[in-house]
This record gives sequence, C-alpha cells and structure tokens, in this order.
Amino acid sequence: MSPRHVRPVDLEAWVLGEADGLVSLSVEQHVVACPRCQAAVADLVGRVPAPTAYAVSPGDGAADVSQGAALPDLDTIWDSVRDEIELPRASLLERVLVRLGLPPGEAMVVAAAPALRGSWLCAVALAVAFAVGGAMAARTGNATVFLTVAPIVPVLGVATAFGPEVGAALEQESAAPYPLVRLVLLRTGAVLLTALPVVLVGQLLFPEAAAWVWLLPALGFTAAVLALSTWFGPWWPTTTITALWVVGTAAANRLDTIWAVFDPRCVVLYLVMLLVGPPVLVLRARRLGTIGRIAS
Amino acid sequence: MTAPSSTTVSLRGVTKRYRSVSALDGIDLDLAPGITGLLGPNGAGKTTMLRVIATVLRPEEGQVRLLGRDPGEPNARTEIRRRLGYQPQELGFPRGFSSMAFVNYMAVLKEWADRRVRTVEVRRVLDLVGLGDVATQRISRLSGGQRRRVALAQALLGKPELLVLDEPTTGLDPEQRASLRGVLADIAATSTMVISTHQTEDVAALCNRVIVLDAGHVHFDGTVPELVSFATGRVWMAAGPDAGAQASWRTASGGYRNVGERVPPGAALVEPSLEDAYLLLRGAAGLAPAGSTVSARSAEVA
Repeated sequence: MSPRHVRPVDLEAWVLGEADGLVSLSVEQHVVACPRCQAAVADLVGRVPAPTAYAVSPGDGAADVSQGAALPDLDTIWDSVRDEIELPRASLLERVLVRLGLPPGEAMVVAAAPALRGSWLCAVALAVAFAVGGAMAARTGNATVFLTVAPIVPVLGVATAFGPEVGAALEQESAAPYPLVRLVLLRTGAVLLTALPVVLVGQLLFPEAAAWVWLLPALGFTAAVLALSTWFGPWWPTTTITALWVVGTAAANRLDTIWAVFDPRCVVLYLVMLLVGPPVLVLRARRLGTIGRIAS
Repeated sequence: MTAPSSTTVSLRGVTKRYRSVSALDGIDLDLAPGITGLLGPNGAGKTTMLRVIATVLRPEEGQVRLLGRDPGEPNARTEIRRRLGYQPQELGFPRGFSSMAFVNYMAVLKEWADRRVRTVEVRRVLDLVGLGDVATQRISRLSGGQRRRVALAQALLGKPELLVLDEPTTGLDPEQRASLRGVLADIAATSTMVISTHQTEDVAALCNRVIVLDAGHVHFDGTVPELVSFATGRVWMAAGPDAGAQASWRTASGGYRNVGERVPPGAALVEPSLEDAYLLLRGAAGLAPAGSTVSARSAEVA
C-alpha cells in the first residue's frame, strides 16, 4: 500500500475477497475515508461478478441502493459469513511460503505435514539445545557433539513427516490426482529448510566452517531414507542409519578424530546416497503411498 | 474374455501376495454402475481388492482396467484418479485439522484450484454426510463415526464416477447408517460404487450385487435375492439349539434360530435373511475346494 492510497493489487484482492485479514482491515479503514479509492472500488465492482463484489463491499451498500442496484441476497451474505468463520486461516508457514512464491495450494500441501507442526519444531529445538549444550560443556571448541547430532536431525524430521500418522493420511492422499512424488519431495524440502536453525547455531559456535560440513551426510541420509522407505517404511531406515552414524562417529572419535567420518571415502558414500536416492524414489513412485507402513 | 460395454471396473487374473499369503488369487471380475457389496471374513482380501481398484496398490499379476483405462500407465492413472473417490479402512488425518480444513486440503489435492468453487464443493460434501454443523471442530475431537464421515466426505468430492468405500458404516449409529444409505443410493444412480462391509443389512439395503470373498477367491457373485435364496428351506426356529446346525443362536423371543441342512425336532421353517445365507455360504466355502466359485445357479443346487 502507498502512504496515501491503496495499491491497485491490494484493492482488487480485497474486492475479490482474496486479501488476508490484516490487508482487509487496512483497506477498509482507508476506503471509508477516501473518495478516490471508493471510486476505484466502484470501478472494480462493476467488473467482477455481483456476489463476489457484494460479499466484500458492505460499506458501499448505501451507494448501490441509491443507484438502483439490487441488494445482495441472504444466501450470498450467509456464504460470506461462513467463509469467515469456517475456512481455516492460512498458517504462518503457509503465508511465508506464499510470500516466497509458492502457489497457495502447494503451500497448504506442505504445511499439512506434522513435521512442520509443534512436535517436530520441539524436536528441532531440543536437538539444537542438545548440540549447543554439548558443545558448551566441552568448552574446548570440540565440535564432536554438534557433528554427531546435526546430520541426523533432518533425517529424524523426514521420518516424522512420513510416520504412522501421515502414513494413514497418505492412503487417502495417494488416491488423489496430485503427484505423490511431488508431495513427498515438497514436504522433504520443507523439513530440510526447517533444519536451518541448526546451521545458524552451529555457524555461530564453529565459525571455522564445521557447521556446514554436516550438510552432505544429512542430505545423503535423507535421500537414502526416502528411497528405502518405499520398501520398509521410514522408521527402519531411519533407525538403522542413525545407529550406524552414531556408532561410526563415536568409533572415529575414539580412534582418531570425528573428522574421519568426513574423509574422501565417506564423502563419496554420502554423494552416492544423495545421487541414487531420488531416482529410486521416482522409479518406485507407486510405492509412495505405503510410506508410513511397514509393508504394502 | 472381453468385458461388456457397460463395465467400469475389470479385473482379470488379479493376484496379490503378502509374503506367502495370497490376499487375491487370480480374481476375475467385471463391475458396472450401481452398488456392489463385498462380504467376507477378516483376511478374505476385501481391503486388498478395494486398494487395487482405488489405484493405491498394484497387483503382482493380472490386468486391471478402470473407467476404460489402464492404471499401470501414469497418465491414465492420473485421469482415473480425477474421477475416483476412495475412503480407506484405516483413517488418518493431519494433526490439528478441522473437518473443513481436511476436506479443503483433499480438494486441493484433487485439483480444485479455484478457492471459491472449492469452498462450495467442500461445504456440499460436508453437508451431505451431515457434518456441516461441526465443520470447524478439530477432527481429533470428533467421534469415530464422525471421523469416518469426514473420510467419506473427501471421497465424495466432485461426484466421482467410481467410488470405493471400505467399511463406510462402521461406527455409525442406526440413524446415521440409514441417512448414509440414502446418500449412497442417490450417488449410485450415476456411478459405480464398491463397498466392503461386515454388515449384511447394509448389503441387503443398498447393493444390487453382492460378492463374497474368502481367502482371496470369489465364493459367490450374484444379486442379494440370489444369495438369500441359498438359505431357503434351511433356516428353522426351534425350542433349543441344534448341534448339527451350521449356526445357532437364541433370539429375543426365546426360541433358537438354527441355520443348516438338518431339521431340528419340532422346528418351524422361517424366511431366511441375508445373514443366514452368508453363514451357510461360509460353511460351504469352508468345505469347497479353494478357487471354486458358488455362482447364483450353483448355490441353488448346493
């Protein structure tokens, strides 16, 4: 919105009933006192279907009547009221995703994953606290705890995103025409993005770039979990990979240094996981409906 | 074998195994518009068959054609799903969603892109299943029967030509079941509906065709009257239970209903119900060789 008048795009969204609550309130406040924007509204109202216009322009009722326009019928008004009461408001995450350019439908699909809801956010917070606490306790600049925990946080998040609760919902989702591969990848991408706090905290604690080194195994493990989930469901691969990683890092730390799990041979292994996982996922797309189940 | 022109669902030699157990064993079936009821004990293969018809499970062997298309081909599968509604047996909903939010979300997955048109459709299906008044309540706070109706509502989005419902009446009270039967009967006038259920009275009230599955085989395929006629002359009311009966239970009148070949002493022949026929057929299925089908005609002879 400009300081003086409502932006045409906001005005049109308001007339179409597509503006969110905050924008609607702002526009209403302004239009009531602004003849110029009132004229713009009148122009827009003439160009959109009557029910839509009536539903969002209560302030213009008197003017419409004086000009001989028909009054909105009760069904239209009632539908508008039900819209306000019943339609779920877009969550903060949905609004952010829409701002980032994702279509509203896609944003809703991503936000429907419980991974992005309270329980998972708590898990991320706990993991961050664990990593920070461990590092602080060491007081030596040793990144062992952080590097052990950080790569498996996204993996656990993805497993949660496609756990038993979602597995049951996926049964219904998988019979819809929306491509299931797209749905799974969108949610996975969103889960990975929500792991960013770990990166930021780690970057603050370990400015020598240790914070970024975990990213490759994290992505490789996530790709492997997704691919293996089409056979075994998400929890067995997650448990196995997590256990192997924890044992591997502990052994490396005991024998030499944790950096051994980031030597070139291991990096190749993570790269292979990252490169092979997605094609396997696509090839086994018809098994995606069984993610969250042990067998199909 | 070619399917008749009215066929919307065609299964040929469909087989699905879970390790060494055959959930479906060479099923041949053609379904046309109307309501087909699937009856059978737990583990008979009903849910597996419905999942195959709903395109969420691919059989290991055999051919499937749905609405004239092959679901094995990705584009055809998407086209089928645009015209398909599916209510699974096992229900799951994203946490924190209201029924309005969930059905709205499913409508997005079903390509209802326009928000206003989508909202009207979501309201229509929620009202249809009697959930209009609780649309804003969280699903986690709804009763089991209401949750099942939420799942049914999403299946009804867009008036699908093929509707696959796995135990839609489980958890509903008698009034809700009667209401739901009315809704399903209206929809079946223009679509092919396949229902799995343990309630023989639902089948009797709704279905113009009934299929009895057992151990992955079709053991009966015919109309409800044909299945009921299987029990004609084999249901008796007596003062006590008959040890030789297929099934025997005490009724509210104090007498015993005996279902079987033998005439109990002092018994009176009574009209059979679908449940009587189903129990008799189950007994016959237990004795019949695996893979044999009791057709309507052979049932009369048996």
